Amino acid sequence: MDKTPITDDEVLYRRVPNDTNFCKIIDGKIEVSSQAFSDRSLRPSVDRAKLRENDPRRTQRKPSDGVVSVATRDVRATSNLVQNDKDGKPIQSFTVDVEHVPIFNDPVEPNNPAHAEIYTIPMCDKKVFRKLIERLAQLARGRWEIELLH
Amino acid sequence: MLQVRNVRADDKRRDTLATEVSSGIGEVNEKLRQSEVRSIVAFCSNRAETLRFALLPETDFKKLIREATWDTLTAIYNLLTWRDGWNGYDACAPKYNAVVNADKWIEQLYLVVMSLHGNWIKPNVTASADGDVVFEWWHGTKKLTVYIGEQSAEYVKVWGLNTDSDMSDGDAESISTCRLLWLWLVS
Repeated sequence: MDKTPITDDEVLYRRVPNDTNFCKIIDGKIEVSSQAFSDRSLRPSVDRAKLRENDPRRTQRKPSDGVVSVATRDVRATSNLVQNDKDGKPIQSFTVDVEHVPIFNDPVEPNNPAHAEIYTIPMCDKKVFRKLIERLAQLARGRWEIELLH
Repeated sequence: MLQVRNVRADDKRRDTLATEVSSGIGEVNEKLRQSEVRSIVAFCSNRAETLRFALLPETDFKKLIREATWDTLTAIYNLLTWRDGWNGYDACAPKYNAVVNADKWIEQLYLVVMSLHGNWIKPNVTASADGDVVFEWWHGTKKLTVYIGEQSAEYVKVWGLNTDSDMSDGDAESISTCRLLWLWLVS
């Protein structure tokens, strides 16, 4: 399958496994942990909803997995991602984008034609990435497509 | 062979620590202990350090703090049961030394909170994909995330969606920073 452009109106699913403490109920609201978007390669994986037939169950690996969603437009609207020096002065700014990275015949991962990755341009460091995932968690707030069982 | 032995030793150490913190205490007891620790911290802050040991053996004081933070400690050591890939993607298992460091850091923060006469708010305890221990607190519109690595403690403060003007980060190792972070969170 060829890579195809992701439009701003597309919805992206992120799997949230159970037993990871990735959500907490505070005053009756489910807060999403920023770590739900943590990624070693600083490129969180998501699924393009429309290539999953808008069915978040197809993003689950286990029946106990939760699924949150974010809108591509909101992800790309992250316009103030900045790396500061030790005195707090900006030295580099970043834009955020999402690209289609379908997975086929991977030695570890199952085939996933809907797979996409959120990334920064240029590639950011860990500290900047931590701010990005805080924003992604806020964007996912209240957008549980499949809630985690408590 | 040496590698196998080391892996077994690590597993045994993890199992022992996980067992050590496998039981909890009630909320009422927790509040009583919190009040007790707060009183002792207040008393000691007005007197010579040596008086602290005359009043209460250090081991008992430490035990009191550990009992007061038992749920959090349990959650911290439970991370040692998580294996590579625990987040459903490519996360590495939480690092043993990060867990030990997190135990020390949370004790330090707890004492800071007690010295401020504050009420302890239990953190959400999870891990990063790199194997750091992660503490998170939500309070009103504020969110505090602290990453504890093998030799580091770093924070991200969040009070809005803008990644530049509504977020800041830095080291969270010193007592003075812990104090400022807590005051910011609860203000």
